[in-house]
Amino acid sequence: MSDLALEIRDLRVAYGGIVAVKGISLDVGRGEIVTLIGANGAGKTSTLKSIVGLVPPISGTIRLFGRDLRGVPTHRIVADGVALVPEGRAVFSSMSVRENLELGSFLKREKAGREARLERCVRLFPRLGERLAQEAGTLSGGEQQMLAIARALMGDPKLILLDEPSLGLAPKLVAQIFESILEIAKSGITILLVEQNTRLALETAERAYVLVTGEVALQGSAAELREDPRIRAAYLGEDPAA
Amino acid sequence: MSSASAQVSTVRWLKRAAFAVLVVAVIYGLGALLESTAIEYVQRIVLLAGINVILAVGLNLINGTTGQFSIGHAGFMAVGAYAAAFFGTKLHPWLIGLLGAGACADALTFNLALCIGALFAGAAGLVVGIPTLRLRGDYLAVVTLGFGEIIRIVFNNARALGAATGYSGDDPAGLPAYTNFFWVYLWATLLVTGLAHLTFSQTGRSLTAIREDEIAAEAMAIPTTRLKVLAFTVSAATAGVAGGLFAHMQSGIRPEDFKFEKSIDMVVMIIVGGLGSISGAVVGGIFVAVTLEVMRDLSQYRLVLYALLLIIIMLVRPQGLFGARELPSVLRRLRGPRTKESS
Repeated sequence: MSDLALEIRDLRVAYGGIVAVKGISLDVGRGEIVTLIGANGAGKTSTLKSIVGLVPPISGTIRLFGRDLRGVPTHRIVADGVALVPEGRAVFSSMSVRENLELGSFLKREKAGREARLERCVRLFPRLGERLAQEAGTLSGGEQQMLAIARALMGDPKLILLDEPSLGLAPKLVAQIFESILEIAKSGITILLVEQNTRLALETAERAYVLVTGEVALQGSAAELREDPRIRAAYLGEDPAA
Repeated sequence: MSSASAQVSTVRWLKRAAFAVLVVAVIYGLGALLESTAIEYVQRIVLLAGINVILAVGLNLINGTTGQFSIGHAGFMAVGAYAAAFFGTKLHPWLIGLLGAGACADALTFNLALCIGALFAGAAGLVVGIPTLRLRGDYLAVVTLGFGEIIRIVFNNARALGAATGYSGDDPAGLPAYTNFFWVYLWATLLVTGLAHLTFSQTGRSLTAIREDEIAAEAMAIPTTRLKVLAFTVSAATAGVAGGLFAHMQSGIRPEDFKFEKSIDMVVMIIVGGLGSISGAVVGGIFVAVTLEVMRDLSQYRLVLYALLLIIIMLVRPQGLFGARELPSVLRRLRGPRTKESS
């Protein structure tokens, strides 16, 4: 049994003729928080989508807890314990918060377990608890992001893939969301976090990969990368001469 | 404990059975009343309205609830109509041999024919749906548009089914007029109830999830392709039942009864009522049947007025009469503000 939650080797993803991911290799250990940072179009989202099988890779291998995912359909991968929180939140807006959460446990319908997980989500995000009957489309952006994360937790995942949870949110809410992410990690769930907010991502994660136009440009512990002058110049907006 | 709960469930089933009997009796009574009081012209409109309701509620499942647009449902209605007419014609002598001539053999023939029509239309839906619904996006609209035309042209050239002159069975007097108020509204009640149950089940909610965000639905492990195909097949089969009812309203069916305009009529029904609302589909189905008849005297200007009416609806209430809501929630909203004012 591998002690890696996720093991990606030479992953290549293309849309038509355009290659978005050009041979990425990365590892995520069990219980780890790993972040994937980089500019727009660096291939972060494509990597996440290919992990859950939404975009089939053209080559390379993806192993989930030691098991090769080649040709495995999305719903099987999700059943094996991966949850994707898509970019832009993607809540089911005409449905109530409770219905959204219940769909999160689509595969695990037995009532007791579902109610227990729902309670856990409400404890993590008390705001959702107050709004269980409210239509999800009427929630604020931050609440929708909380809902998207909570919905992913409803499937009782071992690995959560978060795609830009800070996108379009007020700083205060972003801080709150990232606190919850740390809390989720504390409960033993492995997290792969895709972010453009480099500073926050490096503060939250243990290790990081920096993607530039579909390739891994830098990798290392988050603490190291925070001090790396190239990162400071390119992503943290600091003058390298200073 | 277990015997007590068994007793409770028996009581519940008895109640349900009693309710079902009551509904059937009411439909029968209304049918008898209508047939004894109204002129034939009015009766015909009432029947068409019932058939429209079936069409609209069926189409709403795929276009409204699941958000996959079909604009060729007249094709499935045609498949159902021809299959029901053909197998009804062939089954009837055999069932008479079995049961003797009479109302019993007729009713059995008719309902079997409707089921066969639904089966064939559903199978056609499956064949069209499996390759098309694997894709995300508007492909279904394109393919169903083509399918509707192909099916019509196939029937137009099928000698065994009367080609362009249409099919009217083996009897020179034409297809038997089995369709009456009782059967139309019994089937409509059954189908509306069944589709409402489906829509408000976990499966139905998964269908709505596909409409709202297909990627997110897939990320919830919802088997999106399978559910889309299921919804489409059920929707096509429902149109097939409507086709069978329609076929037995007149002495024969012709390919031109199922032209592209018929598909558009169906889309209009659910847009007027509000996409995604079953109550809306019911109202929209009746609305289209009535307005088409009311405007019939205007002959060629009818479609112009129809278009104008639609433009007005789109301007004044683009979400349709009901939006995506159902009747009970609309009533609650109407009542809601008043109680607040009084308090």
